[in-house]
Amino acid sequence: MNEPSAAELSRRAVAHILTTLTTTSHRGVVVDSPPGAGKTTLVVHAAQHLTRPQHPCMIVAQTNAQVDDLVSRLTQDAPHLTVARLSGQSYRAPDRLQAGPNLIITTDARQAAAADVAVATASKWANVQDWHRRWAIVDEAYQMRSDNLLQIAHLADQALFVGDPGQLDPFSTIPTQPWKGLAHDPMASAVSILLKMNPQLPVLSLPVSWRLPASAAPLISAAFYTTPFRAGTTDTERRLTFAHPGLHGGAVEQTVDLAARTGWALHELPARHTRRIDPEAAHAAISIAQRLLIREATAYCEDHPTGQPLEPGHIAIGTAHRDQAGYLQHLLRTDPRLKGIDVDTANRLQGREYAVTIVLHPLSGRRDTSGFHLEAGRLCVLTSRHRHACIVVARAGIDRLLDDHPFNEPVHLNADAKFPDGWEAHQHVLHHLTGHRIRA
Amino acid sequence: MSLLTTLQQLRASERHHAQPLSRLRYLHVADQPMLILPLNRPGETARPLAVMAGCDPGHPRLFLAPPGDDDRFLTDLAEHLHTYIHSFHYATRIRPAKGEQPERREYLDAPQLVVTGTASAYYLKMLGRALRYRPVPEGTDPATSVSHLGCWLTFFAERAEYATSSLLLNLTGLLSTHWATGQSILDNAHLAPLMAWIFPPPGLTGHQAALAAENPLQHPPDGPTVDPSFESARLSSLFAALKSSRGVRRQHHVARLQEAAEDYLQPTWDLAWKAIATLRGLPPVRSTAARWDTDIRRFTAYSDHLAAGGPPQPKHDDVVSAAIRLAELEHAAASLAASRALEDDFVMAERRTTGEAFRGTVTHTEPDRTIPPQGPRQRPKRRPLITVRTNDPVRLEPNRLLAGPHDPAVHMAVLDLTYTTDDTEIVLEVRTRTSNPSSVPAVGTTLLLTTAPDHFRRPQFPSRDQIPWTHTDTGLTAPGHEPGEDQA
Amino acid sequence: MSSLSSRLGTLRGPVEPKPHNARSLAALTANPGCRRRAILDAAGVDKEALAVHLGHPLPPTQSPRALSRGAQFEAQVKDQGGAELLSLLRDKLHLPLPEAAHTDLSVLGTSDRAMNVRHARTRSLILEAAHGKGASRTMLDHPVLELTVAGRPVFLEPDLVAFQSEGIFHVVEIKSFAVVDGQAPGDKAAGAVLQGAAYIIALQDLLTRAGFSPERVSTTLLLITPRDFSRRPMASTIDARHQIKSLRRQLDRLERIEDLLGQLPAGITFDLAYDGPDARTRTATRDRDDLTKALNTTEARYRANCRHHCQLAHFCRAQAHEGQLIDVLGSSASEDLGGIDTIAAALGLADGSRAPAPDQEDLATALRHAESIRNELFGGAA
Repeated sequence: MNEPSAAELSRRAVAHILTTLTTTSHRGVVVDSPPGAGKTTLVVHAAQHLTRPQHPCMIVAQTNAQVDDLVSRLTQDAPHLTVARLSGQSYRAPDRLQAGPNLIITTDARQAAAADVAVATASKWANVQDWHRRWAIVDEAYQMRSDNLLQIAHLADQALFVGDPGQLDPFSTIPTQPWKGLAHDPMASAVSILLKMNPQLPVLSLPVSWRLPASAAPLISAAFYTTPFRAGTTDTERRLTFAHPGLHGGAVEQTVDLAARTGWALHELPARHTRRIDPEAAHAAISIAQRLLIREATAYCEDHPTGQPLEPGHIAIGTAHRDQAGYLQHLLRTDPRLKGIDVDTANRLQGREYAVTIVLHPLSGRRDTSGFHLEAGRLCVLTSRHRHACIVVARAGIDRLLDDHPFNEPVHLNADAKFPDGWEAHQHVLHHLTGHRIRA
Repeated sequence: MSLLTTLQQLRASERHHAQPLSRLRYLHVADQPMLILPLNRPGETARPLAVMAGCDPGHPRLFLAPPGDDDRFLTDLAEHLHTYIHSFHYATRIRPAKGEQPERREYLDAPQLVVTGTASAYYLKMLGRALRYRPVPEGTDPATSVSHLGCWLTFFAERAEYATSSLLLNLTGLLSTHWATGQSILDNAHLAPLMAWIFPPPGLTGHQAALAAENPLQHPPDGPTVDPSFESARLSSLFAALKSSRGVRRQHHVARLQEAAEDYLQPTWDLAWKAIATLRGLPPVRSTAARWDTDIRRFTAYSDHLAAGGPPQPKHDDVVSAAIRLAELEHAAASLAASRALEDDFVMAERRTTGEAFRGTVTHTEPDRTIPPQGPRQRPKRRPLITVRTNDPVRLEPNRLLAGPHDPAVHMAVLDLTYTTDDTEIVLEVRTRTSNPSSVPAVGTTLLLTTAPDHFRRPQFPSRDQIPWTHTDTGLTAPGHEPGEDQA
Repeated sequence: MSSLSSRLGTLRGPVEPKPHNARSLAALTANPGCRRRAILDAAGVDKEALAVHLGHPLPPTQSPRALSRGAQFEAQVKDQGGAELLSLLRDKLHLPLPEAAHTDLSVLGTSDRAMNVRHARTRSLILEAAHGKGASRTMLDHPVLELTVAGRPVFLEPDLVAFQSEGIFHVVEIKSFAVVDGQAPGDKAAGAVLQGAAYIIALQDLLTRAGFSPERVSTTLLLITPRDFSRRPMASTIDARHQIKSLRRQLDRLERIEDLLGQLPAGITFDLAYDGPDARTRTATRDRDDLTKALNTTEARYRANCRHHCQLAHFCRAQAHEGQLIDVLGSSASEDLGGIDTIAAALGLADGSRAPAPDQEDLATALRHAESIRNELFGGAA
């Protein structure tokens, strides 16, 4: 009874983080933020908090899209601050960002010098000379490579690192074994090197996911996170309803109905080994999206208590590989009603949010498992983008594939064993999905 | 791997004979490379039993390290390798000043080492590590020392990690880029079975020849590990005998050990030279010479480093060196892939099967199209449009920059893709060389296009004495910051 | 249980089951999808003898000199009651006190019959230590541990030391591969951790059966190896939690081997029909075709790396080659070709001589496209 509400937990956590920023004697503070836990809000609050005694600060994000999102949130939520959006030469600002008295968009760091907050990608910051701030905020720090941090760490005295530890690790296109287990592994994430070198730094966390519905938060928390978190909303606050009932009661309809009712569905196709591109699975994903739209789904949530019609822009289809995404994009173009649905790989869906996601299971149709397909971060990204429901499309047989997973990866001395283990995370999610299975 | 390569593997299996992949080589093959076949002493780490080395296929030199007599072996091997390396120190040229680079002296050519596979390349790296910190004996020339041998082996092995470097060639790796066999990559990592698929002896299929080549007593596998059957059959008794014998008896056993090592390495020696000649016979792609030039520069720089009394390579990269090396390795891999795609038909063809490239016909052009100014003080920009139709299965995203072998300097961005049942229409915007009329090909021209090489800017890292707090374990607190300062 | 063991006994024939060791247990995790291997391992069939009899022996992979050098190194490290070992452990585990009670269990004999005795002694010493009786630090050399594999107790005789300090048991493995500048070859380290995991599991099981928490066993493996290029020993630690879980999963699966056995035709046996009891002189008389038929009732899953961990690898490879299975070409080809199993089928789809099944349409299109490009490059019929 006396348990604090989710909002209260969130508020306390943020307050604690902000206090820590101003009182800490450490040069860095790390904040672990599970999916949809208000990371951007925290960054905006922290920026305001740090600039209040007239200390301008800088923000580092990893991609241009992330920088744009942050800039747009800052200008809305903190109109009293002047924000500079630093960019590279080839950058074109999206329409929603309009330069004005409070927003400077420039390629030249000198023009950003007077701004309260300057925001840019890590690679842009790496080329900025003669710059110094008391505080830097590094967003998506778990996706930042150690070598990127090395390039920019000198720009500020202290830094707040915010990120989602459950998402994908940074990667390289080349083999990087020579450094495995060494303290200076340039491929390690910025946070892991930071904590290895400065183990005494405070690591705080945000305890509530405002994105994930109550049907998803406990599963995602248990499967992928060492620091648990809970959902900010209750079962009754998030609902998905349809204006039209399902037609023939086919598998796709059942899948869509089950997902609307429970927040999860596993649309299981007959077992078969397939290539990376499995046309049947792709078509199933498309049909599911079509049914969601044709039946005119309405999503009810705390932001839209009277309901919001589900539009293509509220739906994403997630894949493991780029060619799978390319194939799906190709299929989407054949139906104008689907225009606006995002299709992308787990890598690029990081940090994004949708009402409903449709996921091609990374292990679907495979003959063998591989480290890539088993990576916990990949599955975590794919299954934690949604506010209402997540529908997984997969070939039957993933249970056997997991059972048959060989364990013969090379071991590197002194390299930390990774947790959560991809195999276990997959097993955990699959076990849950099996209870939401519709056989096609 | 591409479906094209898989298809050639299938054919190889069906026809019992290796099938061609790329017909052009991208690495330099020297006229006189030095082939090195190391053989490790069983049960030891980077401690050779023998090394067969030399530049003349007809005259291999065998360096033997009979247990209990390593030092002579090392001095002899060092002398042999140093003589080869130093022979490149006679001819130099002057590279004129360019940009910020001042005029420089450079060697005309560089040495090239050849090993049979990844395991041997790794072995040389470990051997280099084992030797490079050895002290240089008082009164001897460091340039011929065992320590410098270690430095050079490390240099070659480290360069071999760069996809673009030809300083240390890996034969099985290179052969596998030019031939598909009916066996797995794991099997292709051994020279004898791989060569058996490419050149099966008369009367045998590639598969039969490869199976025959698996018999370690008839075809001792390439090193550096001695095959255990061979060890039991030929070496175990000699090891035991050498332990206890002296004088003439010992010499007798050493001679037999020498014989055994020669018997073990000679077949691989002959096969390896055949492989080298075969690879040399493949015509190089255009950019090969430029890559070898870079190798020569690296060789010059390292020669200068050693001549100036520079220290051996450190045991581990420090944080800055590791970051720089990673950036360079990534750049090497990406630039090689990009230039091969534009210079090698096969690589382009592979990319067509994966959707990263396509061949199509120009159906429409707008050479004089301009786009409105981007800023207040800018003028409209010329951005010609080209429409290409292809029936290759294209998988490219909008905004991707493309280039083709017809003129690699012209980069065009994908503006739009329209799929129909049979083909795909792609609208491209020319982004570079926009004022050059030849950048817009005529309607009806057939174009091959693939993703253009990314622009590479050498990343700037802090100097070693300015490594930031995030990457050092000094445990310092914020400068000028006392706990509680802000609370006041 | 007894019906299971009699079923497995029939499969094996009238010979003693092939004893497991940590290496063979570690290999269980290498290709768990292979049903053939799972059945043979559960029944304790001697796969090497099978391969030899079928004419597909795997050439030896262990160097005799490496083995003896390894034994020398181990002896050196354990010399003088493990004095050198103890000082390494003290540094690595940050222990205050200088000595530990050292017991070498190999003095009880190394014959097979001594195993029971040694296991009993190991067990009582470990439980004594766990109860806090006796010395506060205990070092057990050559302990014999027991693990249940497919319902059958298996003795593990590790070349290692179980070390108890502050109430926690540590498994110490002595390996002869060198750790150079803090790094070891990834495959060798992986092998060592998997073997170590088998011992950790056995030790956990021993303690839990006696009512102790499995947490009394450290899941971090202590590895003693030569340092750099010398013979001087050094200690490293490896987090073995993943390997422990993985191996436990495979052991659990072997417990459920009945499902697989149920799919075999009745009366199947892999008995080599030896003509005598003496292992040194006996000859296998089983008809080879008949044995092959028996093996074919089990589903093999050949992979190119099988030879690193299964003595039957060359037999399965020959079968895969005979059956023109894509698997002989390695994993990337199999991945490219999706559900197609044979080389002939894939080529038939590529040249259009075979009509694709409805679910192969897409792949067939891709193959035909690749084939047309191939023809452009290399010409058609060659």
